[in-house]
Amino acid sequence: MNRRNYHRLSLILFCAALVMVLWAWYAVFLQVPTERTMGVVQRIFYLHLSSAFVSFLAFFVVFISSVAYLLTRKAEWDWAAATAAEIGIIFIAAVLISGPLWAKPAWGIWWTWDARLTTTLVLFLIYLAYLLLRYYTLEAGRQARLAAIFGIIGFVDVPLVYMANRWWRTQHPQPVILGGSESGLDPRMWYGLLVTFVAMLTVGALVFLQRYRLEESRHAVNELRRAVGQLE
Amino acid sequence: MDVGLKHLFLAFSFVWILHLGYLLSLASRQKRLSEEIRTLQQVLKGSERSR
Repeated sequence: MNRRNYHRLSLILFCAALVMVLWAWYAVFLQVPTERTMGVVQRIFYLHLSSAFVSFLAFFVVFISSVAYLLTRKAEWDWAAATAAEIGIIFIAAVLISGPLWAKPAWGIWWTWDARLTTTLVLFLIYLAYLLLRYYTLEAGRQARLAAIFGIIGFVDVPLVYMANRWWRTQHPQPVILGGSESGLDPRMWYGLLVTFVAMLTVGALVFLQRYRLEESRHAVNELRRAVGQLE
Repeated sequence: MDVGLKHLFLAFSFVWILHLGYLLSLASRQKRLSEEIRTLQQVLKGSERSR
């Protein structure tokens, strides 16, 4: 992507993210109804679940990009995987921050080692290890290959996180979406969730674009350093 | 302040500060790299001119 298109797309995404975030705040604080048993703290749900969805999506991008890199060996796929992994970590960190802040007033505890919470923490640690692997492996081709294999294997934990409260009894509530006949949401809550999800998604897209640009620049710096090195 | 309201405020603050902080860190990393690209390009141009 050339510089002009990049700036244009960045500006469009920035405006979209700003509008969506303001809309999401308005929806969450002023439009959605207050939940009967938990009260006002249940509004963390919109932020928590949307962040989890976006992190899953980011890790799926890592998975797809890693497979594509191993098949094609094109550096662009490796850059996309590195970008998505970092974004996934930021969003899963948001889940791990908002979760305990919701849990304390709702359950009386900050944390418990149940299947859903533990697999989520493991997911965070897997992708943290993925980034450390990228950082500490010096040779570029080897780094990309190892990271791609790690990115594919690491994705196994995502369906485990998703299914954890379906397969095992957990302190974490049973799913409210696609969770069977007992599950479901008030239509106004659906609206709040959808708006927050789109807001998170536009923020994710904006951050993806900035982070991918960074990978491109890093590559350009390495190429230029090589060219300067050949002069000396 | 109600405990639920306090936690709601903290959750929203932490999460949005995290996103904003990350965006700012990306911008600063990008700025550093852009400066390095400019410097390296100048070095290359200078050496081409001196040939």
